[in-house]
Amino acid sequence: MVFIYYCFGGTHSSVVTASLHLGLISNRRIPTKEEILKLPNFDKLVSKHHGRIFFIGRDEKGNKVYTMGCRNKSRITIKALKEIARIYNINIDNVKFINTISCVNLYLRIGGYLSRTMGMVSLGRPLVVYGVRKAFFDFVKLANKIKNDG
Amino acid sequence: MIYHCYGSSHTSVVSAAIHLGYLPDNRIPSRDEILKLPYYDRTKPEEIGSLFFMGVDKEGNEVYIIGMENGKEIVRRAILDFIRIFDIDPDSLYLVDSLKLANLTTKIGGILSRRLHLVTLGRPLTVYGIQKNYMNFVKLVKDVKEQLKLKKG
Repeated sequence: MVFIYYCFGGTHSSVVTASLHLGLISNRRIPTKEEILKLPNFDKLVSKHHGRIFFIGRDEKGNKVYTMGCRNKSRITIKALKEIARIYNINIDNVKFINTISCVNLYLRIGGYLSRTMGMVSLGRPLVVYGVRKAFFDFVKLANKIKNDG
Repeated sequence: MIYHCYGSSHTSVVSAAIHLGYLPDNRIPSRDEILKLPYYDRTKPEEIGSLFFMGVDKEGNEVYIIGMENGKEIVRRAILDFIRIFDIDPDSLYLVDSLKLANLTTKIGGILSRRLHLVTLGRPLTVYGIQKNYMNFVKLVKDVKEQLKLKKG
């Protein structure tokens, strides 16, 4: 299986959920600021990375886990990828696209905008960390659901 | 071989049609010739992002069209990274932006016809816009075919 977690920028909510899927952070307690900032690509990507599909790791079953940011174009992007799969005879049943935007709260939204779009990292980064910590168990729930379904 | 534009209704259809020889490359086609094209000014908003098969060219390349709205950078990157996951050679795919050939007339016509459903008003405008810019479409396709030849060596 291939799991592609996607959100707006591919740098906060999708990274956290993919990391939980892979066990890069504990799902039993809220991670520290340092643990969050150490996650792959966390609060690092900008608009030129949108659409890129980043390999984060393989889970214990050998499934590949990726993240992607597709701004507000997720519907069309996912549709296009499924269409491409069709013409290349890729079995799309083996690919799971997971939208992580449902876990995004206002802190993540504002912090992400400040840090990534405006480049005001010192202002935005603490906000996204706070947002991740606040919504952490929503991310855990989503990652667990995907792993159990998959 | 995929021509992409905003809604896969106008510029991508015309470019693919020239590529496949459905439209002439030495003169401006008539209104009827353009309106007869498959998918021309017909794609619905919810179909944007779907790949439509237009035909196979003389070299055996499959020609498709797709709409990417105003997200072409994102969708293109995603497609290229996606096929790499499955070890497919990105060179087996050629993405061509035809939206850059949409002039103001085609754009306004497209919005009127596709988004606002004012087909009788918008459709003639899209045709007029394409006829006005037609030789640039011919040039785009010519360049694409030369690139394809170079790629294949």
